[in-house]
Amino acid sequence: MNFSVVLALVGVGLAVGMGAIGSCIGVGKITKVGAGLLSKDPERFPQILALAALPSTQSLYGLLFGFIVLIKTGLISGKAIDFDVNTGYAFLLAAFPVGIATLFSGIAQGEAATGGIKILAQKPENFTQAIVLTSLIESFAIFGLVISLLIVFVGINI
Amino acid sequence: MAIYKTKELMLTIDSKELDIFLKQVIKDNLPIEFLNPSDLGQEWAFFEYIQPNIESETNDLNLLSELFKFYPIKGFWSLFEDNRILFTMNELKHSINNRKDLMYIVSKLLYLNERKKKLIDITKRNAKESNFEVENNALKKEIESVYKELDIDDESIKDVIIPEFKRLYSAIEIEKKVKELPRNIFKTTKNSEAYFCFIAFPESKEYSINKVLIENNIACKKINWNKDLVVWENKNFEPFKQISESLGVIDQNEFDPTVVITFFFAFFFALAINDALYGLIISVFTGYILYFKKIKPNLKNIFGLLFISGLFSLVVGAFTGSWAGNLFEKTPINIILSKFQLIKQIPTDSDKSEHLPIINELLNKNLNGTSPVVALLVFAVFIGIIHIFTALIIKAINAYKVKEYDHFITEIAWISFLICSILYFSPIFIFIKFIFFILGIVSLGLVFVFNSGKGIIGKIMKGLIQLYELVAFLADILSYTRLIAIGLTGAIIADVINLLAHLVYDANPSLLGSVLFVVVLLIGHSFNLIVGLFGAYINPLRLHYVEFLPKFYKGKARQLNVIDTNLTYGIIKI
Repeated sequence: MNFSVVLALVGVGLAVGMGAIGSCIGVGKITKVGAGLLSKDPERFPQILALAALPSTQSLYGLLFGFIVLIKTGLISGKAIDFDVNTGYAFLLAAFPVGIATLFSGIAQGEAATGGIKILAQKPENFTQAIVLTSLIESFAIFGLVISLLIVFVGINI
Repeated sequence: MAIYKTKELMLTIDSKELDIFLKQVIKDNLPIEFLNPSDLGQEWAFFEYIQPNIESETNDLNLLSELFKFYPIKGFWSLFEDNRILFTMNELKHSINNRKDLMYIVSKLLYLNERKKKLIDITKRNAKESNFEVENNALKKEIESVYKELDIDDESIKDVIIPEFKRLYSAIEIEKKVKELPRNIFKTTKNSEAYFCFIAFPESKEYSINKVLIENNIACKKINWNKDLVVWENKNFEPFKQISESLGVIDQNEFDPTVVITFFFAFFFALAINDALYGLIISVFTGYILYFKKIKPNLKNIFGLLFISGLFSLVVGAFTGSWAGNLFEKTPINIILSKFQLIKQIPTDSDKSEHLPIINELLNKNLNGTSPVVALLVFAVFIGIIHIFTALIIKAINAYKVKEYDHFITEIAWISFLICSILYFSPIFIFIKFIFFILGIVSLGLVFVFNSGKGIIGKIMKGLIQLYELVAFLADILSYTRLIAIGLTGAIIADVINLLAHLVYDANPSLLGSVLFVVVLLIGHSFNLIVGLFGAYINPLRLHYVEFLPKFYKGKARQLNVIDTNLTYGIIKI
């Protein structure tokens, strides 16, 4: 296997891994606080689940980037296309916008949703507001994803 | 859609009269709200609230209503419809006159019903061991003996007995409701003899309310209250009303954005889901629950919203030719499906990823030298511009409605400035560019002249603040790229799921392979649909709450908070 392919694979690992770390920490924070609320008010389970699902999308963006690189390099069907080392570095660097954005936005979204669970505990009728406030952070992950996608689709020609 | 004004009345009334009035109101399903005099302003604040003395009556009706509470309504009716426990009309009429007998019958029937349920439960649990036949025969005999005792006939159950019971049930329900409602009765002083209460209702119901008041000899006086208390009546777009309503209720001087929100929300949802089959599944599922099942009112709105959005997704997905990704691409159905497709796939000569047409399309820069991804992003920004302009136009309309013409001119000039700026930077003929440049300068001048600042310095400051809004405008329209990012995510993951399913089948082309093929497709697509649903619901919502509504929405009015007059069996005549 070429060094260039290895570089692309490191990029895939970075994007998927960082997204997953962000989602793990974010969802972990929410479920911890959510379980506390559940012990008092078991009927809030669907809403807590909806809040906990918000930071899970971060890992999905990482996964999407990973799939796209695997498809573009032909690795998904086992027939890797030849490309030079510089292109390999480009694949690696393209992983950074989506990786960093998903890592930190996942953590921050976990924090925000923890506050949302406080809304849920005291004013359940304002649940939509909790969702909207939490989803504000989603933008930054999406911006990272858009740039990474542009690099892979438009910037890299193989 | 319509927003109605309300009327307010002060009634001279005591507790017993109020009961009679309320009964009539619930029977006729009239929307009224009890007001607190302190809400009405300082001049009414001298009224004192009277603590009602709650009477604890234990009459037969209460007992019967307890029984109904214990056995929920649905179970109660299944008693008569499923188990065919019948009794005669005469018996019933007699019972209604003499309610103790009715109690006896109902309790006896409920007891039998309970026994039958238990019997069925036991049989379900251990089907082999139970002596179902023996016990069932015993129960049948017992039922027969009860029938005989009650003198039962099977002719008139559907036509007479059930309606009769419904009426009885509603009568009990009304009485219970009236008892549960708060007694908002006030006095002027502690020793005064006169009791008052204050009600508000929609203008359109004035005739019916007056009729009730006259029939019951209740004295009333109109009060002038200048607060905006409004009634919304817009049944068609009910699910989308809640989006704006959570920011407050608009008064009659504001433009009602519900229809606009309905269109944009459903369209954004469709762009974010971007799949016809997913949309169809969402619509069929929510439609079935909405129209064939009874659901909680708080779920009704969200299901209605998903139903309409699902239909939009079906149309948008069919135009882009995405049916669960490329699931049907190699099947004969595709010939029919591709006829709906407006945006055709770009032909490609490379065969490096034959399973993935979307990727192929995106990888091949064929759209006049522009990458399709870039084209899609530009499309999203274009939609964003339309959405933001809609918000600005509504803001201008609101200013016109309250006759703030300065504000109106500022808004129009600002819109014109934005349009000119966009057109100036677009690739058009140089002479037309010059015209737009001049128009833009003029518009900006108008913004500086007609804004709400005081004095020359104030005007300049306000104008500069308005100019700074340009940054916010750019940030806003870029935010709409999220729709494409999410739609792309869903579409590519759907394609990958199809590819994985094909790979699994190719590795093992047998019966097991086909089963695995279907399993991978089902699990993968349900996962993708649920994740996509989250994104497609939350992101359009965010675009409305953060980018769209704050531009114009005030929502300072208070909505009429009517008492609950809904009866289980609708309006009845007793």
